[in-house]
Amino acid sequence: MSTTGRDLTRRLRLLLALGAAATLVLFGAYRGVHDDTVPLASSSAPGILAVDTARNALGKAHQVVTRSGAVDDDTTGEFHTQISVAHQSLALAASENVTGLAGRHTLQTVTGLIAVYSGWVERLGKARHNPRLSAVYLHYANQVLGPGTDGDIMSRLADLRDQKMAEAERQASFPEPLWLAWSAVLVLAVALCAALVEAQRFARRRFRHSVHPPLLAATVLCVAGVAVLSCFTLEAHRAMTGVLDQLRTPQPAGEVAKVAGQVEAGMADAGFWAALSSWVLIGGVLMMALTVAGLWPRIAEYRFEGSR
Amino acid sequence: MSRRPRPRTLGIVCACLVLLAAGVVTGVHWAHDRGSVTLLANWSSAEEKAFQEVIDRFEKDKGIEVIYEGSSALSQVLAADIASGTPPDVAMVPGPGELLAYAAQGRLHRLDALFDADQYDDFWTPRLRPQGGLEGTYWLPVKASLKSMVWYSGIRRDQVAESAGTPRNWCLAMGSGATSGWPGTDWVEDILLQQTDAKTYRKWVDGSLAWTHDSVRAAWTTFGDLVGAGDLARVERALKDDFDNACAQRLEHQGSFRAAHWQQRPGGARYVHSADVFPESAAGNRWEVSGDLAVMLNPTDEAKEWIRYLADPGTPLPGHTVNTAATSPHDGNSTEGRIGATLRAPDETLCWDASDAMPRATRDAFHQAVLRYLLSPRTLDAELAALERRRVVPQSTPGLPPGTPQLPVCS
Repeated sequence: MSTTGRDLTRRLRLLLALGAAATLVLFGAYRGVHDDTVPLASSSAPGILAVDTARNALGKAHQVVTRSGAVDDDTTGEFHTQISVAHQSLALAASENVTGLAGRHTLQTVTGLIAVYSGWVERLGKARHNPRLSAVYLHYANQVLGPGTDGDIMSRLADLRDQKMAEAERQASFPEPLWLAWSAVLVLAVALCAALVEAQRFARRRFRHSVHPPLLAATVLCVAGVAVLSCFTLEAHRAMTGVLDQLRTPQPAGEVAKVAGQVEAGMADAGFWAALSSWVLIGGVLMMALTVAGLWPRIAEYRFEGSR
Repeated sequence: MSRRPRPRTLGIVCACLVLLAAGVVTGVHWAHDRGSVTLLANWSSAEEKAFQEVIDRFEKDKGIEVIYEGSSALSQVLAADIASGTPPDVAMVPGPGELLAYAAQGRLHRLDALFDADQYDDFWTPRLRPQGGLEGTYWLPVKASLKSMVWYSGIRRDQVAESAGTPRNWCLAMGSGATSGWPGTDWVEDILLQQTDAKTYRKWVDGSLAWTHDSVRAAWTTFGDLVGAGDLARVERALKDDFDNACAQRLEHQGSFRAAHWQQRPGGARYVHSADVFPESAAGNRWEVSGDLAVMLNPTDEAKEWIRYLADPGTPLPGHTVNTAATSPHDGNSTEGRIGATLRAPDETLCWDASDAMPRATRDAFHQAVLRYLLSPRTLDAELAALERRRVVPQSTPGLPPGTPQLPVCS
């Protein structure tokens, strides 16, 4: 009695199981990397640069104060412009919400402290004819602005930047579970391709067809899909690492816009990469459908013969 | 003969066990992760560290995360947060002055159901009836500080009054970030309390007594004489020094929070009542006090749990508690023990730190006036006149309708 029907059924089950496993693991592994590309590009990196901008603006504002000894009619415009820049940047950093509720409250506190700092500077301006009182007010303004004192503005912003940076590093990291998932993807993809080739050869031997197009298409889809998605993942990881390298040190005022442009250019494809994740499932289903299309008609023939 | 389970059965059992384990892990995680509460206070340095232990215990016991923000700019931050509609769930405010206004505006939530107010003296937990709101208790005193204290070292107790007449014997430091100047306002308030009486003090705090009144002026000049106002080199340094810096002099007019610092000095932490030091003081039992008052701005379950935890007599809190149901951790004969006993003694007259009980704008102006006065004592009349123009007369506190119970300034 022929065992071909049973052999085909066994192969189909194996191929479907491998196909489903490879698809799901690839989906998870791909999402594991690309779910963080868009937040890094659109939220974390701009948030970090916004904090840098705020720090630079406050530094410039304080330079205005220390250079002129007080804020007078000549310098008040520049001082308030820089304070406005700081406020706008902090509002942007808050809207990115990278560090969650705690980060938002830190920014609210910093905003309050900037008001206190501005208050001391205004008093300094009013007391500019009293050098001793001016020196005291300038000292208080220094203390509130920092860095170097407990809970000052600059120290809080530095802490906040560190928190945001830690979050960005987490997003760009490739931890052990991801290594494991991608290793599993490669093993499953190789096993699936080997099983497809073996099924192709088995079918060719039994049915004297040189090629089964659906099985060949499934094999090509598997190889091409895994290769392309691996390339995109590698590219995304490189881009994220590049972004991190640029953000690791606080950017001076003149560099923030340039770095922001570089980050934007480096992560320009992040949305496209991330959008491909749903195509992993579609591709997997298509591959399994091709496998079924390749083997099911033959299996059906043997089932028909068996029932006769 | 027993049958061995089939591989498929074993597989199903294993899968069920894995699912069950995952469910248990998720359930335990969920049970321990019960949300968060945002907390705003003005603690920093050692105070913050001490309170962080309370927060850590709460987070461990209740599974609720406490997101803490501490800043000397608490007042400004809280005002901005409230105005922008994003207040913290709970705030710890040092003194009831601005809380009265927030209660009157309906920003605070009653705490009556969260703790037994009978465990506290009415002075600490007064019942308020804001306009359009319900009568109730709106704050919980978490940590109390005794003021009207003069710490001393290197001299005998009977030499303190004599030493006090020499300005260079005093530690003087006004720096405190956003609230720089408050150590000076404490001086003026305490001198007024000791040189007059609780009734006069109460009238001054609630706006019934003019800033230009002789007794207020006398308090300022006494302060200036004792610390050497106008001694520019000394004062300039004092204005820049932080209030919690190490003190090398013999005397310091500061509250009970400085006990740990003075404990390190030869002879340990020793203090006398400021009435024994200030000239023309009436002997008495009047103490200026302050307290960190917890208020609830968002009545979330987590915020309520946090308030309950703080009010629990079994919760070990840093500093001194005025919860009469709580057992003091201090030996009654120790410095800390005596401070704690004074704060809870029914026969002592306790009065709120005046600036903490005044409206925010008045308090801030008071801080600034002290700074300027120390440098230029001749400007006292102008400073008092400016403060007088800001005086808020009784029953006109912003947002408080006529008939609103006034704060019990003194017990």
